[in-house]
Amino acid sequence: MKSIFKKLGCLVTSLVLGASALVGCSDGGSGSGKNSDNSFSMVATWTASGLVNHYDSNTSCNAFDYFVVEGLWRYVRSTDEIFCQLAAELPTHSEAPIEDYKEVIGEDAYAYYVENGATTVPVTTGKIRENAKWQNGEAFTAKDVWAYYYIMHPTSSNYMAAVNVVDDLTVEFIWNPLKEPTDTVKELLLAQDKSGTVKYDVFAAYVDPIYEIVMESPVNENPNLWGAFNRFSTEEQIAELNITKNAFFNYSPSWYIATGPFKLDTFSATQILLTKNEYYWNADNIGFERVKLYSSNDLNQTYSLITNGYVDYYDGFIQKDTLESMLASNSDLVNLKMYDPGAIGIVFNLENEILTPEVRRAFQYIFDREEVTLAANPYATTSYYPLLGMAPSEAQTYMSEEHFEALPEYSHDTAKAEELLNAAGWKKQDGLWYDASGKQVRLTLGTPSTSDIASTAAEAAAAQLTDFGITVDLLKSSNFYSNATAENCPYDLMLEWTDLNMSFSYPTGSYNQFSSVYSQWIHVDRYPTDYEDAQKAGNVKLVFDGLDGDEKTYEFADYINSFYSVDEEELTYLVDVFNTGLANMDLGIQFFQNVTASTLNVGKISGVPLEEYWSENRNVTYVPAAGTDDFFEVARTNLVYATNYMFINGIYQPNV
Amino acid sequence: MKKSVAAFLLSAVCLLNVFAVSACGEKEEDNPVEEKLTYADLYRTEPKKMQPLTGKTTYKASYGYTLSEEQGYNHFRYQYCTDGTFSDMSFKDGSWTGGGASMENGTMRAAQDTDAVRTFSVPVSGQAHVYGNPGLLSGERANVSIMQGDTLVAEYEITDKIGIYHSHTLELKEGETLRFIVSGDAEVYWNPTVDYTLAEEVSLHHTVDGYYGDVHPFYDEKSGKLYMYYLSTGRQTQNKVEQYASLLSVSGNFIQYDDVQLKMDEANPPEQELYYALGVYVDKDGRYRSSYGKGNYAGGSVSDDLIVWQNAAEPYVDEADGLLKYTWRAYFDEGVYSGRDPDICYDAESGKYYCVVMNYYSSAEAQGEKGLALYTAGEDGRFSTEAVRLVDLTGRGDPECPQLKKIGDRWYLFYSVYGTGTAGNVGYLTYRVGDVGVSPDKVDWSSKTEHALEGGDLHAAQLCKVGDMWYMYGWLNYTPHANVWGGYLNLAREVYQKPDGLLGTRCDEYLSGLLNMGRVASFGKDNAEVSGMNVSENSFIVSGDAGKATLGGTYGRSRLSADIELPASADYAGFTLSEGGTTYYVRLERTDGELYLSIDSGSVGCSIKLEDASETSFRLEVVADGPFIEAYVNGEYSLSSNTRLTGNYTLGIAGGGTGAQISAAEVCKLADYNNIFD
Repeated sequence: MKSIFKKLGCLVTSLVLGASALVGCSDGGSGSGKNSDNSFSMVATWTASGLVNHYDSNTSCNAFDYFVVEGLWRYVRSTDEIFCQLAAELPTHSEAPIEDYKEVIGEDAYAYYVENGATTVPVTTGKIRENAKWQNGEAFTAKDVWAYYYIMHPTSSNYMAAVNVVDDLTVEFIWNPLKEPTDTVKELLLAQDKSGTVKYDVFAAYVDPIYEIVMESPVNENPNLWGAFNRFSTEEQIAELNITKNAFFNYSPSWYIATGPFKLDTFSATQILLTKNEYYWNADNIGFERVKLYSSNDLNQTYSLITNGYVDYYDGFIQKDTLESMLASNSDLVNLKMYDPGAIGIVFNLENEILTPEVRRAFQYIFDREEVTLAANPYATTSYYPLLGMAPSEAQTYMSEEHFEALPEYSHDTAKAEELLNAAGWKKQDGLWYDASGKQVRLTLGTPSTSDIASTAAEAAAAQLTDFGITVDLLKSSNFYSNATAENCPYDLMLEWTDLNMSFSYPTGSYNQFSSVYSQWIHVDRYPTDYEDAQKAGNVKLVFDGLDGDEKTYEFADYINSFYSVDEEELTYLVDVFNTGLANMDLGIQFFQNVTASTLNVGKISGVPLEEYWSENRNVTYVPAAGTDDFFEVARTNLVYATNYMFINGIYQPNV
Repeated sequence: MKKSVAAFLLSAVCLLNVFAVSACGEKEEDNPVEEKLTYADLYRTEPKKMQPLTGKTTYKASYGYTLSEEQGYNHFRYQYCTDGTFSDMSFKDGSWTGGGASMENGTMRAAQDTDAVRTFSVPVSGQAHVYGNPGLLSGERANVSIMQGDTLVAEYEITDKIGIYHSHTLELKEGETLRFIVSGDAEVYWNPTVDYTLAEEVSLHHTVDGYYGDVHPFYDEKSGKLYMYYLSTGRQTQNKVEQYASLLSVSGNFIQYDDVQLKMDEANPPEQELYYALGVYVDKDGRYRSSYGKGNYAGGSVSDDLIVWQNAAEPYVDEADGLLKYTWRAYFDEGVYSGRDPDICYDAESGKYYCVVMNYYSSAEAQGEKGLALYTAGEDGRFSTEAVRLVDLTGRGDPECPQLKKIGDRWYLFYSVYGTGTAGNVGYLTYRVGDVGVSPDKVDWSSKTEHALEGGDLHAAQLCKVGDMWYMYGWLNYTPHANVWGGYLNLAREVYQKPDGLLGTRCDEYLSGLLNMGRVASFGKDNAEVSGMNVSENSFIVSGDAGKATLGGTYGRSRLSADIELPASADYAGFTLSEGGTTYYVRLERTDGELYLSIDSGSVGCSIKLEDASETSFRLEVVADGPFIEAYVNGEYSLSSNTRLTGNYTLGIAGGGTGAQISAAEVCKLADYNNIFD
């Protein structure tokens, strides 16, 4: 297996102070400073009815992840680079005698771990910046971190025994000695957490009682189950916890509780204004004074805002002809591309009885996937795989070479498709297909109208199915996501992501996405949500065969949460088993691994990387390969991937 | 969906701190005098010359005379008869004449001793349904007869324009003649049909594949067409369309509709694909605009032709606060959690755009505090976010599909309260009356009484302005008495302002005439089976607790009418329509001191309350169109229903309570979708 992770050291000091005027070539950006108000603007979405003044409420604004809130560390999606936000340095790992943490983890838990052979506990230490402050100027301390973990129970806490406040600037994460993730996974888990969102003294009335409930909750002794701090609350405790939690969600302090470089200034239905946080630890190196977030409900309007200079940055792929006209209209725009850890394709709704395994296999041969790719995203990489459970690049990274090479790949072979359909009892007559019962085949293909790539790909796929003789009703809808999971799902086929990792690059992210999203579209059998085995409750019912003579079977629900704790060899084998199993089920058809993009206005922002490329051609078609320096640079420009990296390190500056 | 190059360049022109003010033209000083629309204008059809017909098809006299001056075209000849001899008429100066008789299109003018004769030369042997509705145009009376060869088929005397309905199934022989003869010094309109296809009648209650969801009628004065925008139910059997997608059917005559494909402008499409053309209004520049709910605002679309729609919203920076905003979007007020069902109208008098919309004031939405709110914009399309709360409907069903309309000298607020429809379904149309001369933001709507304009089977009806007139359309549930979403259009229903400010509804007189295809039967003592009633001439009076009179035989689709006296002591009076053991009553009914028009089978049905329970004299007219019943009282109240009837009725009249009286009850043939303009 190839080396998975690469990370850079924490940048303590800024790289660039002030703006550097960019000199552009004839087709490159003009480079002349056009940022008249030191602002940065982008399109965002937020809860329409308004924001409660903290991140962990039931209201949100997506752009707050990039500008307003932070954690100790943050990972960059797709590269897994980790950088420091509130922490002064990267985490350090050690082992310590379990007795030292008896009180912190609770005597009952201590006894359980000791009974099961633990003599030490793994500890990860985080050091907070000395000048880390909340946006009201008060110090950010380890107690605030502690408060976050005990009230929010992020995924990382499923692998912890406790969080310990050493002093104001030092926090320790004590991991469950019986379910310890690898050090790399620990860091990535911690780098997901927005631990700078719960100010202890503001929320103490909610944190303290929940902490008490957690510590009074019974210790979990089932090795196959995971829960926050390895404790499973009783029904009564859960009820009490939920009351307090709901009150916490709804409580709105007098100011938006955050630590990030920008703070909430003005909220309206059409625009949010953020202003620079004067208390930020690196405020002197942040040249932007304000961030303007605009609401825009449709792509056309968004593109207009970009082209006309209202919006300085946009995350997402733009169709080629649209992009080129935008670039032609505004000589300050550049478009950089990067791989998405996901594949676009079709999934089948298994509730349609005619979509048997044999039929689904036949469908793999119907499509000219290259044609779909060219139509939908000419910069993407065509995939000839079925749904795997992860994007091809991740499959290649995490699988053994042998089993990756053994994955099925399907060519465009309509004769083969016909042969397989005939074998399944289908017949073609007068150019149209009839299923085994003699009924003309008519399928509904659903796709979200809000996704340019998906809806364009769907048009191409629908045309190919029609040419093949299958009548298709193409339904593009802004209600796609709710329709796809509905009990009476109106779609037989759905075109969108088939595999996607929304988390850091580890198989669990993709598999969780499959379990929580795509398997629902496919209507895979599931355990009821009140199933007696809590580990399986609500999860998919999928069992895979072992490989290479291994007669054991592997249930998805049993293994999904253990991935973080297994060693590399076992991880590889499990991924081989999962991906091979999913591939053989033909639950979906991959068309291409996606490429996304960052569109930036270099007339208003300086510090945009890959200048040697965009100064030649502002539509940068070069997609850096995974693991290269350019791959890391371009990923950082994507705010969804990298959040505030480019700002807090002073790389982006207003181009004045 | 690809975006074309023009999109951004087009939009680019509109941005950069451009105030969305169109070129301010001076108002026309010399407005041309506009002719008022008449009913006839609404129900017009374009005459088209029928191609030559052969074989076993449908022949109409009008297929011979429309835009044709050819003797014998489509097998109809223009003849006259004197002393038993039939001769061809000659065409001169726009008329066929001969022997003193004449014919012009459907009009047949007989003279004292000369009959006007329309002769059909049978082109092919076979069985045919021969039917028609000769009605008197002038003169005191006319005799009309039908001869097949030398055999008299039928003979009638007609004394008014309603005339009679004749219907026979005949075995025709190729080459023989079928003659339609008018005698007497009179003028008769007669356009008979000879139908070899024996086609079933087609309901007048139109629907589309998958049924109509919520409808939004718009009358376009430029084209004279009625645009029926509606929401897809998602139940199509042919080309599936997403539920709630915007769809359109168009009528040029308020009766017959064609599906028309709506389109989104490729360069500047509306902000969402699902529903984007709902309630349509004309802005101050004559452009067509629409609005739709977007959660925390009412979005806007615009069109120049009612077919292709664009995104109407244009961004601008508000100088007052420096924030980016959008024209033609009404963002909701602080304290509003979300909203839906916006409707906008332009008031030329004030130069304002009024957006009435449902607002929810908490996350509980329909279960919490809610009501109707008003947002206002000037001619620049910039809506204020400050709402005027019009009516609180907390604790009741949602006030769906609201509208604000100015009728005469008042504003009216319309809405349909969810749950008041059949089986707790989408509600029927209600309204509140504003004060004379008071703008809608100043009326105290909460203090106004809520009045009903329909009953439970016609759902979410909306009004549209047609010249100086108003018409309302909703959908009749596609399954009788069931809580379903979607169905059939009602017949054109006129809404008008009464002197006291209340609204009346009626089947306008022109449509009423079109619907009537001639008398079939009248209730009299000699042709009805009577019990519990005293009969005098054509008057039936209940003599005991209840009484009824039933015509023998069964009747198809019919138009019924009667005069009713219902004293305060009486309970009900009206028609009965029975089929297969089920009887529906269409009646005036007194209950608990109130007076209702109802259509019910005893266990299920719908009703509408009449404002004045002291009224005792009524003219009841009923359209029985298969399962669909529409009832009209005094040209003031109307009620529609989808019943379990099919259109093979046993007809009767019935009353309850001493003194209930039904007079002049008669049955006429109801026109159908295809022959109504014959």
